[in-house]
Amino acid sequence: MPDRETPSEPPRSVTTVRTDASREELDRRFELEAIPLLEEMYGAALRLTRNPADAQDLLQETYLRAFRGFAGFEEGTNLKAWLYRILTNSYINLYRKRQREPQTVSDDEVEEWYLYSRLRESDLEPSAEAEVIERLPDEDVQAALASLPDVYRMAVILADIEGFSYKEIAAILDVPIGTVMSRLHRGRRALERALWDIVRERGVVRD
Amino acid sequence: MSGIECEEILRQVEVYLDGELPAEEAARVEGHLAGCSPCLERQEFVSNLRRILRDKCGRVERLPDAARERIHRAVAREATSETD
Repeated sequence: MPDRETPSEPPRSVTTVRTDASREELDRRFELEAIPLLEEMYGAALRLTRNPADAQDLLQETYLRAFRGFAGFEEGTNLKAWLYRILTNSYINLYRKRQREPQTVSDDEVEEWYLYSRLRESDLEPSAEAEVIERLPDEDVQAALASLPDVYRMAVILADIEGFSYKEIAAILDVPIGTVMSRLHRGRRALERALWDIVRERGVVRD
Repeated sequence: MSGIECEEILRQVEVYLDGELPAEEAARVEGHLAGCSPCLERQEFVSNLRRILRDKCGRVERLPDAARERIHRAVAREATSETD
């Protein structure tokens, strides 16, 4: 069962019978509550799809599904998390089929303190480790994140960029909290590895 | 950095920064960090790295007006079809 904070969408085949008055009320609430989140959801869609045309299609699909299922959204619960759930589901449905990328990172990639240790061993000013990453162009850091397999990328985006709790991520991705934690852990290690590769390519530090 | 305690604390640092440790364990991590500069430096590195990730990857992009209108129209069509 999805938890109460992020109720799942009703199955599409189920037609919710509503009176005209309640439908009008729902339409009004959708306009007032969901539409103002369009901009923010567009940012999330862009991070997932990595290009504006796909992001706009994904956003439209998300909003159509959200509108159809809005009767299943319980007032006073977390609307943003509910929309993210629809967004990630739609993304998986629309784009997973075309993907042929590996969906796991191997165990030897999961090394603790990977990036910190590599930076530490380089010729840097004391405590300048994070500054090396800070000085990278935004596009480089975005490319490092984009290089992660989808399941890890989504976990890292939801936690580290969107700021959702483990419980919220579990509900959004429909997986147990333990799975969220292990995906996050592996995803963060894989990201560190990707960042280190870029730092080296850029010649920012000596090996 | 040395010792079993440092190892244990460092294993918990990310969960601590996620705000997901129970209060008692979080207090233990904080207590250790206050007295152990190598662990504190690592914690600051992780914390900085996350801020950098948010700054560089978390920008809110403006939704083009044409796309906004297209989505609005699609939702409105859906609303109309419900009425029919």
